Amino acid sequence: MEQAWRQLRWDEAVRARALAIACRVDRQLEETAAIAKKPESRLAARLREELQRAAREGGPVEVLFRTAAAVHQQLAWLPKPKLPIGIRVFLRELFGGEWNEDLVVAALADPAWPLTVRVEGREPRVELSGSLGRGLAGRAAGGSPGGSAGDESDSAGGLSGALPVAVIPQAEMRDPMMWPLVALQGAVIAGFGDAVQWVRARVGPGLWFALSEAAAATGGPRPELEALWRRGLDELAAETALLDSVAELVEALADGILISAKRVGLRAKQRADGGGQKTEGLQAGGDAGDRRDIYEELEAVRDVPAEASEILTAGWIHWYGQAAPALLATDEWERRRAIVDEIDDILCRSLDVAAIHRFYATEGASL
Amino acid sequence: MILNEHQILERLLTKDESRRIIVTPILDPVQQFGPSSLDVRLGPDFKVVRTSRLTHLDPLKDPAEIEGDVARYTESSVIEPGEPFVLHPGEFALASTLEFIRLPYDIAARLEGRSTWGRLGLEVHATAGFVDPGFSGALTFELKNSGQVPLPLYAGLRIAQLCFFQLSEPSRLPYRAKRYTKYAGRMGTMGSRYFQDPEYVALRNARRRGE
Repeated sequence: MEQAWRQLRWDEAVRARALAIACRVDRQLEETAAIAKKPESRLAARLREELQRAAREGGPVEVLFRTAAAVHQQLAWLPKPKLPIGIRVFLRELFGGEWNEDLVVAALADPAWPLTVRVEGREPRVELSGSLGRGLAGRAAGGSPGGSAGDESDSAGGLSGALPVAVIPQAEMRDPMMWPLVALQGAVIAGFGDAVQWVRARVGPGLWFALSEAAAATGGPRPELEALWRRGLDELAAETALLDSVAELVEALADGILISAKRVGLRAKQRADGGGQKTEGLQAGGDAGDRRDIYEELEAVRDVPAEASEILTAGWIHWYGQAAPALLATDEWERRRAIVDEIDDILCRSLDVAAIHRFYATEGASL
Repeated sequence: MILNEHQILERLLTKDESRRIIVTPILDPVQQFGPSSLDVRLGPDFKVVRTSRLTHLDPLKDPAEIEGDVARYTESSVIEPGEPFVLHPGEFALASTLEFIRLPYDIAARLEGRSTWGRLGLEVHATAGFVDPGFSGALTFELKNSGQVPLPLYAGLRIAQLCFFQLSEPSRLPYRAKRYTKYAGRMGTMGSRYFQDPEYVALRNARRRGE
């Protein structure tokens, strides 16, 4: 596979991240304004103008992050959209029997992920930070977690003392490539010994991209984060089996096609055909040569559900290889929004559809 | 010409992108293929109009205001695998296919119900069963329970089928390439954008002049 995704530089990845966050905040404002009352709609319209102006002016990336964060906090004053149900399904699939489903996921107007990333030697360590971390520490110590009524982030932290809570910045709730960070909070809260490696093993090297980008958005130490990000690139490049298994997904994603499944039937069929001459006959627009059992022929289009790790990895490869460079190459806001909306929508839908597909495959719905 | 199962299969497998039909995912081809059709499944997202909060639809209001009305009065719900969405007798809901579908420029399609569900009173479209050449995205179901008993619907059920028609020559005005489309490329269920039709611009102008 051509590794165009390795060409992006860290500073470009960070700017693309800032623009993508701005696009996602803009989308939230647009959608919440539609269901809000008139004064709230006017507030949303003004915030969108501010955000788009900051993105258009193209100043230092820190300024864009700060503007996006300031506007993001105003989402607290607007109607809150529902969390995608896919997050819950994603967590259930990821944790399997190791999660008893008592982890509550909340979308907050706080734009920062509550994670502190420390890279000591080669292994990154992650701690829950802010009020969420204090809540967890309080619970671990058997004490009452802090948190004052009325403060949304503190109330989430307070809640975590009684009930395990993972949070997601509201504008990022439709970006599945960041959902592993919700799983990471869940693994820390559940007390998994090595939460980072546990999640890494299930979602692939994309975890390093999510962690480094999330921390970069809140002004974390750049050299450490860049090293973590490069580690993701190196590990992904070394995972040839994973790269091979997601190649068709990456191609489909670039073409705007759902990537919930892989057409393994075709490959199996080609092997059974002895080099694939007969199936290739169909692929070239001809007949299969002989009229074999039609059911045997149809097996060529049997799909299997893609794993969440494959969908997310395909998402990162497409993001760094095509979407992020395209986002950086245009000044047109509508174009930027279209790029970010498209990848978010396809990945969300792909995870939802793959879960339904897997449900029937597991429960034995085939004849 | 209606494509038979072998022709549908050939179109799904062809490497020639200008001829390829895309339907993904296909969970079970043995179940889904018919002699001249391909079954499609119900997706997980639904939209229901909350009529108690709606007096009428006024398409001559400002489009942004109508969009707000539609969003406020439409309840969206997404179901998890194995969880039912119950459609009560007489109820109407929008949903979409689980599958992503893309047609080449020389193929049109028709969405039809399945007799299994028809016998229970489930209608899968009210009027929009035709799929243009060049369509790309999830197809919308206009679900209505015309039967007497509530129907629990689950994501992934095969509730409809697609028949494919070959044009005598490819369209030069395929859906994806049209200058004016309202639903191209959508992944899930989307409500009506009727108020965006250009005719309403003229009607709104005329109303404003009359005020």
